Amino acid sequence: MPNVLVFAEVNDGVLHDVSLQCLSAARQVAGAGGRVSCLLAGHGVAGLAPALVAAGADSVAVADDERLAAYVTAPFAKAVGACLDANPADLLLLAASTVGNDLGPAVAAARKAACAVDCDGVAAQGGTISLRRAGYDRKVMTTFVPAAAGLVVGTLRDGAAPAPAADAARQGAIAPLALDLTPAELVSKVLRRDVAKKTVNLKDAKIIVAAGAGVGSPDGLALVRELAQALGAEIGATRAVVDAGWLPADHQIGQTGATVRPDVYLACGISGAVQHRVGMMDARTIVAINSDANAPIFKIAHYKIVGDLKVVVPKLAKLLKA
Amino acid sequence: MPNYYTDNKDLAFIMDQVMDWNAILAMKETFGDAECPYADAEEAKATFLEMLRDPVGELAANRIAPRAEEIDDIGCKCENGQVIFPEALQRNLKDLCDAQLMGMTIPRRFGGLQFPETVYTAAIEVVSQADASLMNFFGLQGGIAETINEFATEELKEQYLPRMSTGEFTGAMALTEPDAGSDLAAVQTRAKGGEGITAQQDPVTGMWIISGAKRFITNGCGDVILVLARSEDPAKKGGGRGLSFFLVEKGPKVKVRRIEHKLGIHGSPTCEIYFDECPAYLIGSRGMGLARYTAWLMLAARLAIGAQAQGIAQAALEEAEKYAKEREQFGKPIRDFPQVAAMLADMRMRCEAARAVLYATSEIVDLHQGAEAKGLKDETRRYGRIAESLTPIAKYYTTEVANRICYDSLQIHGGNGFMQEYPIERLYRDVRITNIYEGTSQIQVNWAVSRLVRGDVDDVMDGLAKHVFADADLARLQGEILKAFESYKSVVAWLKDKEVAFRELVGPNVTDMFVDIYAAFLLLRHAEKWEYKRKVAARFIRQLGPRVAMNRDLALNAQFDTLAP
Amino acid sequence: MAINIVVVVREVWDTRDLSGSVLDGAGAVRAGAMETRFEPEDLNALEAALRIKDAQGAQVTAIAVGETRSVDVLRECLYRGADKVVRVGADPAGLDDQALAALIAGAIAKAGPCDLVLVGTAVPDAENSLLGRHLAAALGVPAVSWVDAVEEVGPGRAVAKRAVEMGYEFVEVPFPALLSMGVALLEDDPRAPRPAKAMLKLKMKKAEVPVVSPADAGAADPAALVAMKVATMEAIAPRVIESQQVDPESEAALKGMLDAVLKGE
Repeated sequence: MPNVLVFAEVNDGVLHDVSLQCLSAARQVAGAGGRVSCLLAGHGVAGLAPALVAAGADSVAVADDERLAAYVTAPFAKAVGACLDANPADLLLLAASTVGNDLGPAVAAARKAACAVDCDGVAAQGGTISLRRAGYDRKVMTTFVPAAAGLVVGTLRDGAAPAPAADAARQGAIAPLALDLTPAELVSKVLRRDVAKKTVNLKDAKIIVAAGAGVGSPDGLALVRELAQALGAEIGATRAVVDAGWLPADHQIGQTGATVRPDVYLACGISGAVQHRVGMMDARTIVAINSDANAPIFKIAHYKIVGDLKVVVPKLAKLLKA
Repeated sequence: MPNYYTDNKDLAFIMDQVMDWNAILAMKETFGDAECPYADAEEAKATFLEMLRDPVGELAANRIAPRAEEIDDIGCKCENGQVIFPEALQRNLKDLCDAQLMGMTIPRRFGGLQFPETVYTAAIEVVSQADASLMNFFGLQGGIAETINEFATEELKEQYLPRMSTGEFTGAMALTEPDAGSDLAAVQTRAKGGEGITAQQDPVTGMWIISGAKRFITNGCGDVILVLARSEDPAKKGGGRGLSFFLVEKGPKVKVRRIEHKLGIHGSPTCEIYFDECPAYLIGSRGMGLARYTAWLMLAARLAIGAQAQGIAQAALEEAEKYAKEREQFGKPIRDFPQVAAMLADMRMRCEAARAVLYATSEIVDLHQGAEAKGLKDETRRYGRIAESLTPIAKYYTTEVANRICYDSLQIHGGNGFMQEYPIERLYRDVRITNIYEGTSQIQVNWAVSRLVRGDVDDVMDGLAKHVFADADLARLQGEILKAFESYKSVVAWLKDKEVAFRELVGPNVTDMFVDIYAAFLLLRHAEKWEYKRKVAARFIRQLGPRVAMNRDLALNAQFDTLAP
Repeated sequence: MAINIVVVVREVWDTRDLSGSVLDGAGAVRAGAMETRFEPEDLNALEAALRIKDAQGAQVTAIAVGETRSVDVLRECLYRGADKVVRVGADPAGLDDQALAALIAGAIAKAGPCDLVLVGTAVPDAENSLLGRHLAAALGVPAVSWVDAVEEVGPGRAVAKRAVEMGYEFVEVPFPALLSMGVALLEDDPRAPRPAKAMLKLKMKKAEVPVVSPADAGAADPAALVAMKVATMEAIAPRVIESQQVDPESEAALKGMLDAVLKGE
């Protein structure tokens, strides 16, 4: 039975949802005979270790170090490496986030390990670990296996495994991990972060009205906001809208934003680039409003409205208020 | 990513399959010369087509087209004599310069690409499809540079052409005046220094001094302005014979008084400029300004306007096809309704007919230029005669067809087309100038009809009429065209002894008959090379007979009427 | 002093307008049905390098791994203003990013001094490629991924704007360093990377493309370096969507749609 190491990602003092999902995937792969260990790295994160045990970790190594306050690759990769050296594992799982997708491949590259990112699933059969990943615009599912024995590294997409049920009674060893960092590992520096605080909860929203570049201006966005209010919906956005400064980043849905699965997703002026679609394509019902009938969003929409959102959106809002 | 060259299958077909590159290149390049960048005609052709794909088609679709709406919205402004371009237009111009496309036809020795007119014409079409107004920078540059290259002194060429090749300098042609529009012989702007006016040619610099106002000057804020001005004493040499051609560089003595508020092409500033005792260089010989140089420049510009109209037509056609596919009424896309379907078929057919005529003309212009450069007297005369007839016809036909296509495209859009949300609204406004500037359709028809009656393109038509089609279907269709051709010839013969005023009266009918038949012949030749074109040619020829018969009857029964109750 | 930039470029399958499946019945990519294109994010990486060159001067070298076909993407680089190109003469099919990185790292070492390596992040067969990470490891240089813009360059360092969840980070790395470029470069106007330069294209159309053999790149048998291999490829059945068009002009149709959507909740 394989031994699995899970890297627990922490953002703003909160464990990443997908890191917890990784724990349940790890538990499944490890089965009864395998060991699931966890690395908790960052600054001021030690208090989160019991939650990882409760979520399924047999042991937690805690690298709580002020030099890990902001994510840069080398010191974090060093921490993962130290963990693996101390307790060799067959599989390293991370969240397919901008941290995990950076750190996982870095560890794999340093150890010449097999690696795949953005995976939809991981399995172990007859001692062979395999990872499944979608490609070609999510038209093809590829299953990867390592070319030789040794460590396999994978990052999992949100939803690839269920969230684990927390069991406060579970027992696990929590031990600190000391880091010996060389100056060469500290050359990259995060000068500043321009990151929004989370004020909306898109993940639990039943209805999301989302705005894309097609809204054109803050005025266009105001129309979308009005519709969201009429529907009692949360408001989402594409990266283009966030970059334009029309909405804070916590509204962003897609590859570097939230992955959502609401009952109703109303896409206004969203063309539907794959970076956005991966974050919302599993919504139960998708309504798309776009003036370009060839927009990729229409390929996944249940209701297609080809028209100017500045006309259609107010009409919908009016109908709801009537 | 879209590409306005490779996505335009008809244009790509004409460039790849129809154009006689061997003939053009035999005239325009000497393979084996150290200076010639191509080993043979095949490599040259491949290079031209590759350039149309990238940078031309790439730039047009991905950078120029997305900015068109913003440029149309903002437009150009004039403040304190300074013309201010919308930011997006400035980016377009920088992109054209960065892509090294501003000197497409300028000789290599002056830093240009020295491409044939046909390649340039295709590039103008592609750019105009993205933004028609940008054509007035990109598409007029060639004619202005070519005029300098053809007629100016070596010094002037060296002074201006390299900077026009890089795009540092853009050009303008200052012909029209408040009282001299179509009638340029009435030009009043004066060049001081003309004998009998004031003999003030600077003895040191040889500079002439120009004074007067010019109106409706496209890109009048440009850096190099070609000016038609009166240099001779009207008492001795009046009218057109007293006009010379000058080059003026932008400076404090060239004042932009205002720019026009126009129906369309908002991204192209139309200026009223005043030359305030402004220094100027004489181009060529005195007194030849109108007859020789303006005529030459206008010919080049007319082909460019034809290409501009063709680009707009393509854009309007694509908008209509897209809309009719997406728009559902009574439970089905509107393109499934017979009238809409027929309109769409006619639009595409007309668009391709106009394109056939446009590039057949550009090919002749290339052959003419090449023959002239090679010093082949007989060929120069022959191709020159044909080019002078076909150019006004091509300009007339493409611009009228483009107007019709925009009209129909808007109609297909219904109420939505009347709103600013859809691009057709802009295209409909932009296209309207094409059959007005660089000579109205009526002027083109007058030019054309005198040449048609004189038989200037008879050899071309006879060649097409005698072509032997191996395919029975095509041969049958040729028979249909020949019937119409006989009808046309009888009208032309009948007109030979009619006075000029009457010929001009029926000019539209005669020109329509001619261009219908010419386009039909060309489409049929295309059908030899591309199966799809059979349908286009068949539809066109089905409508040809009735249309030619109608024009014939209208011509034969024409009368001068002035109606007033 | 002008810096040296290496851009890694790839020619990839163009699956955008593909009707039908990417795969044939045997689970292999339908090569005959598809065209190739310049990997768009590699084109962004090239655009970023050329912008640095425009702003402060730089020597830009483009490297591709491939048989003769890859010469096309390399020529495209020359047409846009790259100073030098190098082709590693090996077939990339069947190689994973680890093996490709070894080949490219060898070619970079041979090409001369290098301050900055730029590579695109996405590839069509996945969302994120690992090439940048593996290449950085092979070169032994720090790397930043999901870089949307290069904010500052030199002396001796670069500041990269890195896209992260909920915003951006600005990361400083000393030279030599590697940056994996993302999508958002295209959000600026102009939204598309620059096209070719016509005069340059005329001049470069027959330019020699130097070739480095796998052995010269220090990886005579790149297949032996593959760490991860493809076991199977299966078409993902598209989610069956009963899609319907709603007429935006018809209030009744819009109302009907709203009722249906909200009732389903």
